[in-house]
Amino acid sequence: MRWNAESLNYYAEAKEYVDTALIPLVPFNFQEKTQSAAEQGEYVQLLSEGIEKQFAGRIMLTPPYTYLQTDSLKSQCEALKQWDDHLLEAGFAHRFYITGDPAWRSLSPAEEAEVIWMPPISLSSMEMKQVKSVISQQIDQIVPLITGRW
Amino acid sequence: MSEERKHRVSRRQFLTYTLTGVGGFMAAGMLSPMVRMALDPALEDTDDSDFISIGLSEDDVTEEPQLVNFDVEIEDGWYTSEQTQSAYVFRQDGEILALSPICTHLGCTVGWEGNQDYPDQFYCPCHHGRFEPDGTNIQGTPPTRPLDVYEVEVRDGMVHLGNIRERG
Ligand code: FES
Repeated sequence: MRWNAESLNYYAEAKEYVDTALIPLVPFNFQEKTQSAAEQGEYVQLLSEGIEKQFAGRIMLTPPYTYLQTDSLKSQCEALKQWDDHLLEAGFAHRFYITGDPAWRSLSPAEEAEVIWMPPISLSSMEMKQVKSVISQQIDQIVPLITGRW
Repeated sequence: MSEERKHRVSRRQFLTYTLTGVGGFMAAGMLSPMVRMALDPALEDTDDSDFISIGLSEDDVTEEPQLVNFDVEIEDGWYTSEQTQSAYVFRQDGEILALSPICTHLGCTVGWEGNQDYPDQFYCPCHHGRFEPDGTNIQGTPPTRPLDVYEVEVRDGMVHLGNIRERG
């Protein structure tokens, strides 16, 4: 499911079945390596959407957590922790954060939350068909990490 | 959880939801009226042109369900995009059957023999929903109706799929 008005109707009815939140971590800045940051964000969102599609009945895809890359990692982490606490309180026993940013690699907002780091792949020169197949291959790698927690 | 609660979400609601889930792999979440027509038999009569080839020859259809992906063209106002759908295609009593892999509980994707403990069944990893090979939901698991089926037609030896139909 997605955090949009339509899905939230269904969510209200099916809450007990939706125990997993998926949060894309999307970088943002206008100073350096903006191109690759943007690309990384798009990649992470495509992955997240693909995973949501496959597990629509149990996973809630939240709006992306967007962070200013010029902020210190520490303050980013604290902010993310707030999201995590909020989601836990809302009943999401499992929280997965998807990122392509090596900075998040070794971090985790909480013990039962998992940061999944995927080495970003540049999709901009690929054709749609190729993009789809790359994304679905990457998703196949992520799926066991999620179902393994269930 | 009470039975009553389980049923509060109507099938139609969930079908609609499920379709939303199927849509928008790339074109995030924008579900056009065309998609609904292409997928929802309730909204449109079967029309010949709706059948599309899935690139599988009739001779290659086995008794073992195989997952076939195929692209459906979606017209959405200003642009046309392709959306990937899948079906489990196999032969049963000589007939070709094409089942939608979308779980009828809450819309996750089921897998044929997706769980080692249940060979010869479709398994949904989300809440352990299970279905018989013909798509019938197994009592005692969350789904309350069988997997949806695609209309199947063989043209020039190739398998073509049409509208998707709800059963049970
Ligand atoms: S979505 Fe398949 S069992 Fe719940």
